[in-house]
Amino acid sequence: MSKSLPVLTGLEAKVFEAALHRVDTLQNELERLGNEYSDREDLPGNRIVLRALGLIVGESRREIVREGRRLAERDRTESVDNGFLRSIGSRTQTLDSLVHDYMPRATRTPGREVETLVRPLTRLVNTIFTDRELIFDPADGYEIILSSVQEPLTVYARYFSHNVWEAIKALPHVTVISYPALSQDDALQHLLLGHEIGHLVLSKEVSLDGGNADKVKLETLVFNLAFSEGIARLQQESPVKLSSADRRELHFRLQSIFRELASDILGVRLMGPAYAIALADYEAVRNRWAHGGVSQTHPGLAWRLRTVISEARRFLDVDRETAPWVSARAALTELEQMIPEDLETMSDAERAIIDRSLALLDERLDQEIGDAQLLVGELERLFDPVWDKLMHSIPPAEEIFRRSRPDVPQPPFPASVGNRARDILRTGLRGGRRPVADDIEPPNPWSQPIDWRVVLNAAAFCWAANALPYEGTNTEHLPIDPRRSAQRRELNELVRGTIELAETHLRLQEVKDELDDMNFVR
Amino acid sequence: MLSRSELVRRLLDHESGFAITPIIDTESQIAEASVDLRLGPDFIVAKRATGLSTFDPAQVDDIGERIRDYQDYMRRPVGSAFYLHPGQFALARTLEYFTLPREISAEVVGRSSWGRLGLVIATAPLVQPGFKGTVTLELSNLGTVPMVLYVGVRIAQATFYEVTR
Repeated sequence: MSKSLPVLTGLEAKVFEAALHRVDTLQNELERLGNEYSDREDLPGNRIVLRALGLIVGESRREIVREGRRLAERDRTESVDNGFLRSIGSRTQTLDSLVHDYMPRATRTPGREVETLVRPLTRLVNTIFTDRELIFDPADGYEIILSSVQEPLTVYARYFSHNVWEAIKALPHVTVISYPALSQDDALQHLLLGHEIGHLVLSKEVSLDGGNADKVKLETLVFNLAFSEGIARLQQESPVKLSSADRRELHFRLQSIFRELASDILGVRLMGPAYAIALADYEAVRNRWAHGGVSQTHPGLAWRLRTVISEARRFLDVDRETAPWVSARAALTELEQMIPEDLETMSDAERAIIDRSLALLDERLDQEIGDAQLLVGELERLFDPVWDKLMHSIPPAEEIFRRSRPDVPQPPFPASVGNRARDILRTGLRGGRRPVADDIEPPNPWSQPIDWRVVLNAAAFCWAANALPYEGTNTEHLPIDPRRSAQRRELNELVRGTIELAETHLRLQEVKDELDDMNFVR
Repeated sequence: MLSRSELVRRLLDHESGFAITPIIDTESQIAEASVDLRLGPDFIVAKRATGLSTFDPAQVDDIGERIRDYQDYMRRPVGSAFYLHPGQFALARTLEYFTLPREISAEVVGRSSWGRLGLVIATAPLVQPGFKGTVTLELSNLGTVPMVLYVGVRIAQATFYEVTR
């Protein structure tokens, strides 16, 4: 034991040493994890939790040592100090709870399969919120859940000191997204994370007049407005007056259902129309298809699918008749035909409340999620070339300016590119010949990275439309081609690699000059 | 060997089946007859052998296991440093993904600027027609001082050839 530590004897020494040992072990573990994660770009949220835990554990150690010193300085003739034992005990007990609740947040890290999606998803969230980091938590069960870390951690911090509490409060907000660990490598399923980000958007603090006063959650704001309008109508139509308890219960139930449907709509807006395909796949695995999926907190599967398909059509009902668009629309229609029976027992008046609240939400969405939405025009422009590359197993990571394909709308060329292309054509035509290789100078800029969500959407529709070319032997005698599973795995690998390349492209644009300066000998 | 303008023409033609992605700056990356390649983020580093005697191709049953025992995987973000010590051997990959049609092959070699410092990039440089993927680089520092390589730096170059049939 260090000389600066207090010297105690008997039971007090044992308790003191044990408590200190526990805290030191925890501190060493946090330090080890900190080193291990130092170059993991995909774990910013985990690192913040480590930092918060480090602050609390450090403060615990200081308090335990302070208590020990106080005890060492007291009158030695007194018997064992029960206050000391209680104080140390309560510190270690709180630490135990903290470790139990939050160490998994720091230690349970996603597989490297998820790594490529962490940066774009975090960027997406930070388009809506500032100062927010995500933890991707591979969970045991087959479910996707959203939870917050910051608030409960600051509650713990209150037990220690005001300084620690303030320091933790100042850290970026951390949100945990738990997802089924079993589908870690299934990037197409990760479209569903849009639903959880939707929940996050609904919990955004907003005010009616756009000012700072009287802020409420977005979902509360729109739902309460619709509920108060709707409940008055409901009371007029119903011969039985609702008690305040019934009213509270109805409010809770309808708001829960509204929350889920709204998160689905937000999922489509943020991730694109293939969210509908991912939802259908996910619910099929969970056996919701058979029993309708109706519960007190979730709308039935039929209602959810109808909602997301209608939202997805906004993206697909554009004036494009190429094979990819026709296939994607057909896949959505096929899904629509498979919608199970609606087992919801809700009255028309209750449904009207939810419809009204969804309409009110829709009015505010441009304001609340603005640039984070996937633009219909962006998907329209890139869907064909991305699909085309996927068909040829070329990762569609970048949109190459002036890449020739006659049936695809041209990207918005920078003026210099357009002029150069025109010059090439003129030169060639004036000479009475087609432009040849020697006329071709690369366009500048050459390319830009493709939005990762377009890649996911094109891949999911390719999959749903069964459009990918098969290789190998024919096994038509089986009801479902067994090669589909291997094909999905390969498609996922291509998609993950593509998103990684697009992200690298983006990052390289920032550091290119710095890196190119390292080519010291030309 | 394909010239710069022929490379650009084929890269711009979506039906050529020829792709190198991502290319972010054609000015510096596509030379008169080659394309510069960047160092990718993944590394497999050979550990110093202490208990391992040999790799014997005659003992085919356990050679895969033995190779894995002898290697460490690591990943570094773009722009971060990777240290290659004198005599050290590491596998890396190009950052660029290649798709070669059936009539084009490629050869990947080091850039002279790095070669002069003692860095060997590839010992098996031929890329066959029809190849799809990133190209593995076999890095070795033959110099006498540690070398710092940054992920994303232009480290190798590829030349492309038309295959006659």
